[in-house]
Amino acid sequence: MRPTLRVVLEGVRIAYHALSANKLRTFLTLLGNIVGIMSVIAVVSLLGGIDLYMRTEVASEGSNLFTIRRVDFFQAIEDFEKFVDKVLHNPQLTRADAVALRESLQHARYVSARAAQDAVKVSALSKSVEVEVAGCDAYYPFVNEIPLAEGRHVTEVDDRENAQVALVGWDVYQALLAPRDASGAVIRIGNRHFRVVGVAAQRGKVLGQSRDRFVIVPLGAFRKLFGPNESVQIQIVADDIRNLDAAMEEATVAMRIRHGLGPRAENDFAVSSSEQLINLWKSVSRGVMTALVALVSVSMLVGGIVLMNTMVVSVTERTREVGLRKAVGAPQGAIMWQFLVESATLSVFGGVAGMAIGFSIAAIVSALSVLPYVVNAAVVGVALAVTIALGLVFGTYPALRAARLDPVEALRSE
Amino acid sequence: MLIEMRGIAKRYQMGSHVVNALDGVDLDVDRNEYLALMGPSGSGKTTFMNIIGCLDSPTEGRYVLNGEDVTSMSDDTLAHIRNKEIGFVFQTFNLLPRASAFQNVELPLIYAGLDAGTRRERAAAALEAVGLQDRAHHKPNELSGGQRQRVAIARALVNRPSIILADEPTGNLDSKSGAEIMKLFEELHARGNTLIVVTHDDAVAAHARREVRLRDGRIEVDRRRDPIPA
Ligand SMILES: Nc1ncnc2c1ncn2[C@@H]1O[C@H](COP(=O)(O)OP(=O)(O)O)[C@@H](O)[C@H]1O
Ligand SMILES: [Mg+2]
Repeated sequence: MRPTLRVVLEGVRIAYHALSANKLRTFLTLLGNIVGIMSVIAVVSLLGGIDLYMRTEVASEGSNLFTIRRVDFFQAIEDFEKFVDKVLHNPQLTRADAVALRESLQHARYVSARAAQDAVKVSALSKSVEVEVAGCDAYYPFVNEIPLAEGRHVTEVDDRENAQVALVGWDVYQALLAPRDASGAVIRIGNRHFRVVGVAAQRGKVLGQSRDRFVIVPLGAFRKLFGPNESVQIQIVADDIRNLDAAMEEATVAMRIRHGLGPRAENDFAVSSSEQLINLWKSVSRGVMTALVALVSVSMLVGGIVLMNTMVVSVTERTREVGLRKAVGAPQGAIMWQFLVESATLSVFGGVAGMAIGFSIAAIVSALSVLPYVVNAAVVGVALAVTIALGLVFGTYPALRAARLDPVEALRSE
Repeated sequence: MLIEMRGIAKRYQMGSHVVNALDGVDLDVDRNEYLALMGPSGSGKTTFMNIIGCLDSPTEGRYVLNGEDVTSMSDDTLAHIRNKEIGFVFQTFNLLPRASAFQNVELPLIYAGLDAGTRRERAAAALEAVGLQDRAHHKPNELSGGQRQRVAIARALVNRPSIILADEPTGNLDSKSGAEIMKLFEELHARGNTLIVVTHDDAVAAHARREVRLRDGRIEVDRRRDPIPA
């Protein structure tokens, strides 16, 4: 006998009654499911968010671009101690490094040095905004795509003369200067005044984050604002996508020579392409997924055993009912399915509660961070399937027990 | 012949000794008989009823019900036979507490695999037969004892069984409700049903046309007689 819609509805109804009759017991019964599914949903949603962020933000940098940084922030995920060591000991990268690389590299088309500071207060007249301020040399327009709405870029001359000039992002113009003319306007960063020479065209939002909240000033002027000690990062565009690896190799060797590293010494700087970042991210997310599967398996296993126990109690409490159903003609299969449906329903209730909590966690995290909120329909399906399967598997023993009850004994029980 | 039993025994091994709950019983029952099964407590009445109702299998003997040998059938086949042939009425009613009167009556029809329309019709008719058509949506705890037992009787009737088996059906009822139940049984008998009523109450047994008395698992008396008018 297969479960008819009626058997299923009946099972759902009974499970619902059990659920509301003893909320604490039900909650404890379903805790394993709730925790398991909650972790899956939260982690998968967050990974999905990071993934989307990586693909849109990092990959949009362009595929023949690579970057030399003082430290590799992804190392923090792989080996935190080493990361701390590098933060403490790696030498600063300087503009001189960029100049040297520009001169020596065969496969580099453009080399640009850049430093940046987040959440800097920029004001004009009575208004102010907090935006990213970047100090760049004159090569930045070749490395990053920043079309102009008006005026000009920061140039080599500006850079050489440490001119107090600025290119402002569209949002900054709108917030501080509009509707006035941008060219010639003066904005204030820290205690210095900068003349606006250009406005970048609107680039819009990616993942809910505006890409127009920035100010670019010459690197020298940036140094005067924030001090000379900030390391720069060096962005390099290879002359051809096919030469990316060769260019990275070349740059690595050049930097090792500049830092005087022996043949055995590790790099005291980090070279990464967006490609590599994405690959690294993929391996990290695979690792997280593996750990997740282990965690979830354990909590679901515990949840399953508790569920089984609850169902055994439920069968015992309803022994007489089983006897009566058998007396009026229920075959073993019908009794079996009745309890299996009940157990699967209970399990799914736990799963749904876990999903609700998991999605809430993901939503909160994405509201508080740059990560987008990603609902993965597949994971909802998998979570439902897993909880149903769990209910069926761990419901089998109690259901079989019920199905095999002797009707005479069952009817006699209290 | 509806029931043909030969040498039916039910023995329980209790440690070192054997309890003979039934000890070689022969019984023939025709259609539309009204039989009272009597005897002192422990004489084997319930055991006998369970075997007649195919809830239990005898240790020895042969049982042919409605032309079919049911002595050694599988669990599920017996369930099927109970569904088709037997309507049980218990002393403690055995209604599902969370289901309405209607849903309780409908239960055997579900296991008979009938569609919803047929179930609705038949359950309604059975409730009407016991005079409870206006209580269809009441839960058992909203009904009096007599009404509960009438719901149970409607459930026993609903699949048009060959036999209605009642074990002390008035045992948990006051005398007025008990009398109502017995009147209902009279009506069912008059409409052609076959009834076997287990009781130790002479007033209940007085309605039956045949009296079978058990003692220590054996039939002591088996006699036909005219019913004593209530
Ligand atoms: N499951 C069982 N195990 C052992 N003895 C039983 C069992 N069921 C019934 N008996 C015994 O069989 C005898 C008949 O019991 P029962 O049929 O219930 O009698 P009655 O219904 O007439 O009171 C009693 O002695 C009882 O103790
Ligand atoms: Mg008894």
